[in-house]
Amino acid sequence: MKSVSTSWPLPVRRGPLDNMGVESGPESRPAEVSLAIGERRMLGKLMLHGDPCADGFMEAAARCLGSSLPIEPNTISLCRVRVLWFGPKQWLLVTQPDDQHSVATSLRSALSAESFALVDVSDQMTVVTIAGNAVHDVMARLCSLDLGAQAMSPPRCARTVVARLPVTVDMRDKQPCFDLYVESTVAPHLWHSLQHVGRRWHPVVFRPPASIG
Amino acid sequence: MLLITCPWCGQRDELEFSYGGEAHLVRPEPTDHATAKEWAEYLFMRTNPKGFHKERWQHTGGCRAWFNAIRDTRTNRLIDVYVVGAPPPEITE
Repeated sequence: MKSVSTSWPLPVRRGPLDNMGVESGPESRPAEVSLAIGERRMLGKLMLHGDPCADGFMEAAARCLGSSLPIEPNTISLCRVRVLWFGPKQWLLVTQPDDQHSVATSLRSALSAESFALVDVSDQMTVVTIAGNAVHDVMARLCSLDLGAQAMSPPRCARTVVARLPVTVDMRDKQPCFDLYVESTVAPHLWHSLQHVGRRWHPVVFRPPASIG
Repeated sequence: MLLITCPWCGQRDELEFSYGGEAHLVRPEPTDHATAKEWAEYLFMRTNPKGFHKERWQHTGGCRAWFNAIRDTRTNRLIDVYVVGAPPPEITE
């Protein structure tokens, strides 16, 4: 009797931009390059909803995360996770890859007495990173919001429309480098738009580290 | 480009916003005792003024929050914005 093999190949984790060559590029942006585009792969993302006017909610969240949730619009706090202000009652918590489960568990435990909602959106959105001296020129062509250093000095974030897509822009540091949080299903459109608009700067694909700092 | 001031995010392009109709419409209460005329007033009848109009907007391309605005329908200029639940500001010609 013929035996049937029951060993299945292990599932492979794939990102929404794997077809764009994001895995084959260099790990860091070459210094002479004006525009580099990459994907910060597999970061954990949690959407937290709660009332900032409820003292218990803010205190419990700060105790669990190690830092207060940002209340001022378009600001960021960096602690155990990277917290982006997403709305008057909404925050995006960005964690190291695969750390979202432990963060969610501890947050649910810390906020058990409060009214809140916590949703794992790690696979719903991905992070496209653009870096280099041409970043501001490229963004100015795709986004009506002034993201220049004079208008918004890093670290800041802004939810806006880029290439007609709802995107959250995270200005990570003074060296021009933006993280663009976009829904995974439309990430290829953003990717192609960045490549098209930035073609005069000969963009290269790179692999930015999956870090939150 | 029309600029609209979100109470939270500041000035943004109008493309980031969605119009939500007239503000301060009061739902007839209790709903199971409201007459057909009261429902029709609530659902279909609008003031449609020539001048200052209090209306609802959502920052759909940004923080996704709803807010109220006063717009001059003669010039399409947004005069003022205020958060939902707050009394509308006094506007004079």
